[in-house]
Amino acid sequence: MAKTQIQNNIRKLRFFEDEMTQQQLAEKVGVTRQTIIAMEKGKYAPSLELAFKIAHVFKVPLDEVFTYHPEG
Amino acid sequence: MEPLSFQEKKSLANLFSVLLVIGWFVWYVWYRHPAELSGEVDFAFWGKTMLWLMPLQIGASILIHILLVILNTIATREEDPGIEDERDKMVDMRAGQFTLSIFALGFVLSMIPLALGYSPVWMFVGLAGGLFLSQITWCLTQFYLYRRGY
Repeated sequence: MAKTQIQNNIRKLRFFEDEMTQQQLAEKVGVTRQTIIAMEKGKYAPSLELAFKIAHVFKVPLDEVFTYHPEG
Repeated sequence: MEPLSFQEKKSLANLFSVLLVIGWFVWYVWYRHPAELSGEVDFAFWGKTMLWLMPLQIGASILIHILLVILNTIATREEDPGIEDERDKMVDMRAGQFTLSIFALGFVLSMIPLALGYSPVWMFVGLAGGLFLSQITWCLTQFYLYRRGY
């Protein structure tokens, strides 16, 4: 499976948010649970708007959720 | 192997509905009206047949979707997400690009029998073939993109 160059800490942040479920996060940011799963696996890079929404849910800056890992 | 997501199952279900309509087309033209494939071209027959493809495809898709939702909910207790998010839209857009290209190619190829002096019947068969192939491409591309993540 192709991984994007943008990795994230969503799984860890969910854990520290009282083990928030993928479904709960999906409902808070208005996407399907499958999209959250794809992001957690690093298979999908979200839009800037969705990235900000996720950071807003966890009340952290964007770069604490997403990090850029260029190839090579 | 990862279990299939609802969207992946939906793509395969759509593929099944396309195959059903192809089955209807083959049965209707080759077995019910084989005379239409040879001799004089009955444009009214081909016009009606091509027009029937659209409602049949919509009906088959709705029916298969309802069946999928019921069976999937019983089997996995996972419900239809019910919303289309940005990833769904991007998958649709990308699959749509491939689909349009295949349909355009089918349209061009269906003109070849006319250019070579064959019966216009083969143009209609070519058009239907291009349409079916583009729909199959749509379903398979969607499935592939969902499986890959995007």
